[in-house]
Amino acid sequence: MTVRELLDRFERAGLQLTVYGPEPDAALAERLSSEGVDVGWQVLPTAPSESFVVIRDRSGFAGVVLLDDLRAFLSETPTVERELGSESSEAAAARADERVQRVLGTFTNVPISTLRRPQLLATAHEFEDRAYRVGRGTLRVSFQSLSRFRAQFERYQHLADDTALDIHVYGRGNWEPPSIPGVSVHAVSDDEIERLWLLAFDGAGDDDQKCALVAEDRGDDRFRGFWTYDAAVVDEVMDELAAVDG
Amino acid sequence: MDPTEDPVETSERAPLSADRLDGLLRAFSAETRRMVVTYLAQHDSASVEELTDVVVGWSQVRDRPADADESWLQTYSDLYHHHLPVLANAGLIEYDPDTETATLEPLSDPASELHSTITELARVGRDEGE
Repeated sequence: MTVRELLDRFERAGLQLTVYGPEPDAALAERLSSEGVDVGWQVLPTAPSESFVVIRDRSGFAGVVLLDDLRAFLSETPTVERELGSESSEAAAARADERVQRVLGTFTNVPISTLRRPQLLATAHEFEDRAYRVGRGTLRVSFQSLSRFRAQFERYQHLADDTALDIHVYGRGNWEPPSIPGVSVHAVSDDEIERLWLLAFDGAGDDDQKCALVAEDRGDDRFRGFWTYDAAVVDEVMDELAAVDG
Repeated sequence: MDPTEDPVETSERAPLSADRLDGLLRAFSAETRRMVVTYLAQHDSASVEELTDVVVGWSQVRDRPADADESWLQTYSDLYHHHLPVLANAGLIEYDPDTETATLEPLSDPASELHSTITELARVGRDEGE
């Protein structure tokens, strides 16, 4: 099973979003429908802050999320950077974090063809934070190219310093990072890996802590992908990365 | 048809009887049923599936229950077997379990006022509780 096959398996046609609220969100509808996601609107006399979005896919109801949360998640502004595992993060960061968690929870296992870097970064950070909290186990991350890892280097240094995690980083070898104890860097020359943004955490063997992000660059900085807490799928992604030479 | 079995007929032509009032109060006593009437007042007719999306979504953004997936099936079943028949018995909707469609009956003034008043009271109660 390659990651590409995994993506194909998860890619189900007919992802449909319906906004329920007092007014339509033209910007959201335009943003998503231009990329092939159907967004409808049904009037419901809620308070605007109570507007919600029902997500359906081929198998039916897939979840519900606050419209405000989805807007924040899809906004082009990068999510608030927060320190790994910090308990005292600012209120704004905590709120942004909660929003990310609610959106992640809703879209679990839902394939999305229109992801962009801010959303993927928010998801990756959420999963890195989970690995940080567990503090041990194996975390494998493919950043497409190691130059992209450069922007995350301090974060991973922190992650390795504070935990007993076994961290493996993959990417095209266009940058040579300084060595960090606990982090193995794998420079790869595999076209497929270069198109993929992968992150998988084995939960230190605890199925309830496993998580993975799988995204493929479609060019133009747009990705199709999904994230999952399904232990079997996480194991497949782990195995796929572990098998990469480099 | 026995007219005593059709409260809509009596309510639109006669003052609200005690029985009729009791029936309406019972119909509007559950938030789920008030949500259904609110939605149908905008859309006239809807499938049970669509009503389930509305009730699950709306409940979720108000109370944030743990698992919307599980509550979806439960809500669907509750609507199908319980709430929609109650609304139909109160003469507020026409409900066809075979096509799984609910359609709003023309609401009498007292029914409409009662629905608005109870919905508003519930909203104020929720806001104060927060």
